[in-house]
Amino acid sequence: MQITPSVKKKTPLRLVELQLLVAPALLALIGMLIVISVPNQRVGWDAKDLWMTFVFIGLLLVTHLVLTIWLPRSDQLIIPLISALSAFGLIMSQRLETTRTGNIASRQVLWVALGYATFLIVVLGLRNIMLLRRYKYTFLFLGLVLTAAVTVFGQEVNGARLWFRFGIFSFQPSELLKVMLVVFLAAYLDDKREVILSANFRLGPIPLPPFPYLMPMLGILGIALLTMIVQKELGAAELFFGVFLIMLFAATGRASYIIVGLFLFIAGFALIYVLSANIDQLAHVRVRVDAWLNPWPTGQGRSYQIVQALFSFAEGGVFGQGIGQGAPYFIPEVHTDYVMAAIGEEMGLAGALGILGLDILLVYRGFHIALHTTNGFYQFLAIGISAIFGIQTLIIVGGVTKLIPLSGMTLPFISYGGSSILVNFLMAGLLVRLSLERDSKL
Amino acid sequence: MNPKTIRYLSLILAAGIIGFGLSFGFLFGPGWDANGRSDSVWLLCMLVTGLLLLLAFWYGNAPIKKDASSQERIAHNTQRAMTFILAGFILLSFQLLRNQIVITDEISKPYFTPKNELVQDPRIIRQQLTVQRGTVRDTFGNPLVSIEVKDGVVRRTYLNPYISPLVGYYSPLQFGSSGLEASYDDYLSGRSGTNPFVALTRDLTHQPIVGNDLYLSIVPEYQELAQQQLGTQDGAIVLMDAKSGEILAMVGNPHFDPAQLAFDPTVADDLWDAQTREIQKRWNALRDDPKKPLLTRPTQGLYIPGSTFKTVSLSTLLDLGKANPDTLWKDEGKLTVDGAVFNDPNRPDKTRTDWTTTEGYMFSLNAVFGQIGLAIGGADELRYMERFGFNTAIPFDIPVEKSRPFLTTGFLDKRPAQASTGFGQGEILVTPLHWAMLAASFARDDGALPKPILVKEIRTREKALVKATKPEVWLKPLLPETSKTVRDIMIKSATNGYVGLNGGGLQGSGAVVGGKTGTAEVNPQQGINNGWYIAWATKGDRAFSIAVVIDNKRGAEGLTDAMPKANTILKRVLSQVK
Repeated sequence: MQITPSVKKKTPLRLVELQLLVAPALLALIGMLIVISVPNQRVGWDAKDLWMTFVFIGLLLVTHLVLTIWLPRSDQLIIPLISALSAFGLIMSQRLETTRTGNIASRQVLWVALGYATFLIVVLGLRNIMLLRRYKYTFLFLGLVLTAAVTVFGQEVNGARLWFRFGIFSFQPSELLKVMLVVFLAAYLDDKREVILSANFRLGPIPLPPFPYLMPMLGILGIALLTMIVQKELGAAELFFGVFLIMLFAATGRASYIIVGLFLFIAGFALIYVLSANIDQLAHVRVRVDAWLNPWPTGQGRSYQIVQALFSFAEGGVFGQGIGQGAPYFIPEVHTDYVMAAIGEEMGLAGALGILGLDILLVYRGFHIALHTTNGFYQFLAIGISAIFGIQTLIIVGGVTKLIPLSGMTLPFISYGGSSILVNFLMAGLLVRLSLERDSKL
Repeated sequence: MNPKTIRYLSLILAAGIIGFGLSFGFLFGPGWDANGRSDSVWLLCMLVTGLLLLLAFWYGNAPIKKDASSQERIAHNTQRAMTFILAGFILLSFQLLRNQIVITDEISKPYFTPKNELVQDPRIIRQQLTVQRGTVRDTFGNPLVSIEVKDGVVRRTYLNPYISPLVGYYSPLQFGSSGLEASYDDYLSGRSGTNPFVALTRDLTHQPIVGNDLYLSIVPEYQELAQQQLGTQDGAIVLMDAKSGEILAMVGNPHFDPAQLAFDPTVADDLWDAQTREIQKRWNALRDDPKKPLLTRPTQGLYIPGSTFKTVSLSTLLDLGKANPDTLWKDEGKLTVDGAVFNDPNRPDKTRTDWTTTEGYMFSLNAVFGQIGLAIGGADELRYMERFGFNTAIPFDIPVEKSRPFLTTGFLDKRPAQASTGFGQGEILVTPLHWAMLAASFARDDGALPKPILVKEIRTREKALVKATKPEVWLKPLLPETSKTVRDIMIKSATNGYVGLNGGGLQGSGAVVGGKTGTAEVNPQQGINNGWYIAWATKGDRAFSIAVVIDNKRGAEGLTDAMPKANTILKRVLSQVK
């Protein structure tokens, strides 16, 4: 029951957000002007194409105004952060458009527009987040059905079976699956947190939760490893498992869970790698790991992509070649998974670290929102969503820089790709919505 | 341990390990193979750093109170969970730092896979193809190499087949480069000699790099004449300006035309591979040819000097003061040293047995010079050869071979070897360039071997001077009076000696000429010889020197095979001197 304050507070103007939004607006504008002015470009951009930038700036203003009118007290940092990242994505899609990629720039604008719409629908429409909690098993079930369906009926692209194809659009269910999984885990951990913590079965020095409560977690570990084998995709598995461990730790505070979980995951991964020598079904794992350990001997064959990405980064140096001045086309699929390499080449170490900075700020803001929410479910949900942003960035940037074995993932808000952008905006919407469920004492 | 201590210790340790990894990451691969490019050590450093960071963050948070509420515990955990992600981002930043700054030089180098495929940054290849490399020009500034730019890619064409062998080939994608293309790569590619401000402006505005032009001392007319004189005969000709050391013509057989190795990057993409294969085939043929056409004969060909070496023996003898030009020597048609018999068929008068040193040189008497070799002795023969530049690489613009006093160590300890070295057989090997320089030294007042010059000037495309080569002295082997005496004896050789009697004096050219022929036995069984001629000519204030060697010819004689060619060239040159 809400107590209406006797003195009506003056509705705050969202001035912080408005000021911060100047940066992404200018970024998109200047970026597009540079793309237009570069000589010898592959696509003949001209001043007419600035409409994309103005649509983007319009989206920023509309979102800002809608929130100012209806939800003035919601978080003011999330929108500028995701807008800055989207501006980078927009510039890169304009920069990387070629005859081979098709009109990715205008499509990216469309997806970003749909993204902001999704964002507003979630923020304004989802009055009661607790509804999500009520249907947690439904979400889990739906997610698993989707995964199973895509495994059976999906379309195989680049060796991984991840997409449903509807006409010209393709849809990647694992993007949605990660949200459903986070919702389920948040609800489950909030329900069972006390039980998981209270009972202390011990396996040697390691405290274990009671067996019935351990099962779902082992189940998730199993699903993660299974998707890796069946869908031939490592990224989603790593992401699910990483988010799961972060949320589990937030709930229990037990480092031993993380250590055991990571150990099991790495052991499972290593086992798959060892088995992959003999089993064709697992060959993709071996290819990825070998390309990670030393890509050079197969630099003209299987490791071509990662080697080209390393050349791109090396070419960039501190300040980069300048937007439109590099040659990132040598990397296959540069506009999706490898967009970070293009940023590294054209904007240099400065640009790449800038992106990482924006990402870490976004994650921090998410955790900050989590710390200020009123109940466990909200808290775990905010942690899970932030962890998705963070870990997804870690996995894909770590992959293209050859810190870890590569796994196909999109760089949140930057990579070209419809479903990924929509889901990212959806999650950002959930975060902003959660920021309203503030504990007024804090 | 105090949490603060743990925190700082692990942070310091992490910094140390990262520093180590950044400095040595590529060096310590398996097998210590620098070309292996394995990242294992670096990745291990990153793993350890990551764990240390987690440790530091773990102890960085204040410990939770025992009686904390469930809410507070979750908040505490949340803060810790955040640091896990932060640690990952820190590792990512270091990885980016390494990829974008630390290892860039290393991975820009070509890498060859076990299957011998080239793995290299395509931008570097592309850049090599877009560099508007400087051209090479003859002494009058006419281009010898032309440049044609199409879609930013540069095609390099070799225009003058007579001079091209000196220019060399340029094949950045396949075989590297040779000749001037290799030795002046820094200037041609614009790395050296370009105004740093201009270079920076070009770099920032992404304009193609423009190289600098080489201006050679070669006179195309003489170069063509020399090559025609040589025809298809193996051998070499070097014509030099004796005063400045500038090379006016320099040809050799066998040679190759770099035009046949020139890759045309402006062709359509689908013809690219076929062209590469075709050039590769030509290259393999050149490389595997037993006659070694890739060697530049005038500077890298080694030939037995034969009697032309008597010039060095004579100089040594007079410089040591062991005899004078009029000293008499016995010559009875042969010389026997410790049982070894050296025939001397050269006496113009078979009945005369007493000959002066000067006559010995004029008529190329082997018996006289065998005795001169013995009089000098092995140690001084070697010492003077080294003073004349044997065993030393001549400082030059394209690769040179060192002339050799002998091939087997201790060769000059034996008396027969001292005698045969005295008249130029022995185990001596010289390059035509060296011998042209030797001849030049006697045309000069200072008796010095000039430093040979092929590249006179380097200029930018806009003709601004970058670097001019000044004439220099390389070696001064003799006392000035010895040099003058030898000069006079060479003039006598070219007037009344065999050289002069056969037209080597160039009567009517208005020049003072000194010269010496030589014939060396290469394969006595088959009668295959080297024919040599070295000469100098002065007219007015100009001085020229020439060395001609005819190689591997049955019955070749310096007098009949080498000297007429030199005379033809010298006449043309002298006729153009006022």
